[in-house]
Amino acid sequence: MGIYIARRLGQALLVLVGVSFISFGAIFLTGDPASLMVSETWTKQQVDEFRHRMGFDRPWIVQYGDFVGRAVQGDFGTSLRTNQPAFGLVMERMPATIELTLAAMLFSTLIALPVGIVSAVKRNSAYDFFVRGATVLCQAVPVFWLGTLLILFFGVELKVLPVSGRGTWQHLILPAVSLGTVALARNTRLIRSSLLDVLNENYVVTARAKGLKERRIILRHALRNALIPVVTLLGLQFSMLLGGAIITETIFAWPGVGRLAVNSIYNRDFPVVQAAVTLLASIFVLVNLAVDILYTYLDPRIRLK
Amino acid sequence: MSARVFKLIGVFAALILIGLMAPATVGATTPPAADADKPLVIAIGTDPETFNPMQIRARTTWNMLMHITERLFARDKDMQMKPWLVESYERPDDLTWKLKLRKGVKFSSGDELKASDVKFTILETQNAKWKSPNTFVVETNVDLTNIEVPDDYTVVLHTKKPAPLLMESADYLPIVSEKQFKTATDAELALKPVGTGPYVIKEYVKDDHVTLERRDTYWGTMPDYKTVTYRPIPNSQTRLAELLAGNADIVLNLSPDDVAKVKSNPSLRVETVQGGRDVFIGIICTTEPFTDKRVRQALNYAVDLDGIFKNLLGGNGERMASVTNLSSTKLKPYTYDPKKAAQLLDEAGVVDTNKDGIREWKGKPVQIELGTTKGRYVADAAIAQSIASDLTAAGIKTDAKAYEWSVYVDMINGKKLPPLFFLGLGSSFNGEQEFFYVQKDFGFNSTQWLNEDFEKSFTELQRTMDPKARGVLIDKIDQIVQDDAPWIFVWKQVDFYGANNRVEFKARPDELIMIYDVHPAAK
Repeated sequence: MGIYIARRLGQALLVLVGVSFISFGAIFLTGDPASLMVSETWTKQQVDEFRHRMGFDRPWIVQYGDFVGRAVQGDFGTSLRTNQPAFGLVMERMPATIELTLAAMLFSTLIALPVGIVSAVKRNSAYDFFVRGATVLCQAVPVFWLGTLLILFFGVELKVLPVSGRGTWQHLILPAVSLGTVALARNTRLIRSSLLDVLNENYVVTARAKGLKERRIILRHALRNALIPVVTLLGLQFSMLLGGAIITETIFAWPGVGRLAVNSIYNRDFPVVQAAVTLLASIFVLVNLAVDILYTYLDPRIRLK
Repeated sequence: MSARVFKLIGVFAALILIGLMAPATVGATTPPAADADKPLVIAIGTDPETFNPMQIRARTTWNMLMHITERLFARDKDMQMKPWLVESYERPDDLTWKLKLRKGVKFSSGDELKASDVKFTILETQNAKWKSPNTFVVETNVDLTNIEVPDDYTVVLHTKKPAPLLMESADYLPIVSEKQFKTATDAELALKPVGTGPYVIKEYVKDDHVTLERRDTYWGTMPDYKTVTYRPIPNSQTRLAELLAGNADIVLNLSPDDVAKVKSNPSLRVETVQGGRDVFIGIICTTEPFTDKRVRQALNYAVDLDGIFKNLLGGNGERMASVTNLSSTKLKPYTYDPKKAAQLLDEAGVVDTNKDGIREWKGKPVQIELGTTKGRYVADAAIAQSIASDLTAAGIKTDAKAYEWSVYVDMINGKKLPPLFFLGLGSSFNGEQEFFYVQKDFGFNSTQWLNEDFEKSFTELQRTMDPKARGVLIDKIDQIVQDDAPWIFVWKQVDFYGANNRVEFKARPDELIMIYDVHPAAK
């Protein structure tokens, strides 16, 4: 158990080091970072002085060490556009992104659970065929297309929900549905297949032989075990939704981290890009780590391996 | 919970899924009654980068800030320069500007605007910390060691050389409060600007909305709207949806593809205006065979721009004759004339000897790249693609290649653009700034075009104070540029806005929306 956790921690650390390399190296991908940050009217001498002041003339390994040293303290420098601390700008938008991600997860899980269960119980029925078809469709739908469709239908045609922006709980519905639809389809399929696997297990057959009611068999015995892989998927999904929120945030003008990151890329505001990339990647890694550890409690077979 | 309940939940959830997939249609919008007490809602493309007046570069942010801070001179809706915070001015000689400020103008902080604030603003543009867009224009024109403030309402500026367009060049220089700049933190300057304008920031939620509130202590004519809300919505389809849903009053940067959809809605309208932005294909004049003027002229004759305007832009747009806004009305633009293009290319020795449809120069087929931006200017990539087809049809095999702006700007700065490049540069509507775009020392000019007549006449223009003499010179220079053709002259970009009929609003050529000029329709 201890070795398992230590190994996972080591892997997570390695990934974070990789992230820091990518995040640091990104500013050099488009050439000389100093030339991005100065006005076009500056002379070569002014640019050279600026490069020296910013430390871009030092060996890259020294610059990288400096970057990591500051990053672990949450210091990514100040935004080139607003002069405000880059990390602070990202953290300001984090609640909006987390809110959207959680809402999308809630939407996808709450619907997927009953739909997936009924689909498994009524295997090969017309209902099951329909649900399987619908989930394939939902997985294939591009977020930007679905988002625009939802806006036109509920926001413009029916005028029952706000088109874009953040404020009331109504503002959350369309972006959450748009972001959560792919997850909804995946969860439904996983719950269905996971439950089907479990329903063929010996302990379920025994329960049936004992004469227990079908509802009790499914909810008490089968579902609990079927949910183990689902928990893993939900953990991974949280991270994926967090990253996938970029498109949804742009379509619905949602003031989250993804949109900030995209704007900062366009504005070449690399301290903010670095802060956003590092933070999102760190959350991704930490959530995965948490899921891995949680898994050992849910399924003792893992920690015994 | 019975299996039946499960089933019901399942069916309900499935129905939601079907509902999500249902096709949607867009219908007519009923506008709420016009009312100046309701906020005017303007949907824009990007969030303000900062509200620090010393740092702003984006036009959308100026649109907000110009109602909070004000300038010494400002253009009216006809693009005429008018004194604004300045009550009167005189120029005792070619090197001196004596400005008399209005009295009783108060900042939103309650302090009165004084000449010392103007002097401070001008000097603060040189503070390297801000990287102000005005640094260059102020530093090259104004003698910064000799700004006189004889009394609280008089500022005397001395220029290093005759600068007839000094005030117009500093068109985007809002006067700031010296007191605020000396006491506030950087973050406060970025978020809570203090100015003499009619509005203050009531609420700013980053990436969501900026709400301006009218203040009663404003010195000038009060705008109709008590509050104005700017909503940054990056996706053009979402901006359109907010207009269709009746939530936005004015929408910026409407896509030409959506014009018909807006026009078909009786509650909405499309406002178009020919802006000042010069959109052109730059020709790198040191690349053979473009060293020959006849080849550059042939490129202009080979392009069917009227067809492009008709097919891509719904008939909006006119071919640009030359560089400025002023004399282009007197000059006739190049016309689409493939025969003339072929004749000029033949004369220049760019001939299709092997009859494969591609002309050769010194034995090699002429195959070139046309670099273009994508999404930065109206229909940029599509226009570039059409132009590339026309040039290929004329025997100059041209491949259009689109780049992200951040990459493209690097190519401009690094002088790494291909032989033909698409670009759009804004105007100050003064008939002079645009000529910089083809001047040999201008940083953004990648054409490497050098014409002695042009350089001489342009230098003369910069020193000429008399408006009539300036007009003659501008005509002459436009003629030189058109004839020597360092560009394929495309168009003065037409800007598209969507508007709800509950507001009276006319688009301005300088891409600004001044709230003074927007009124509830009932008024």
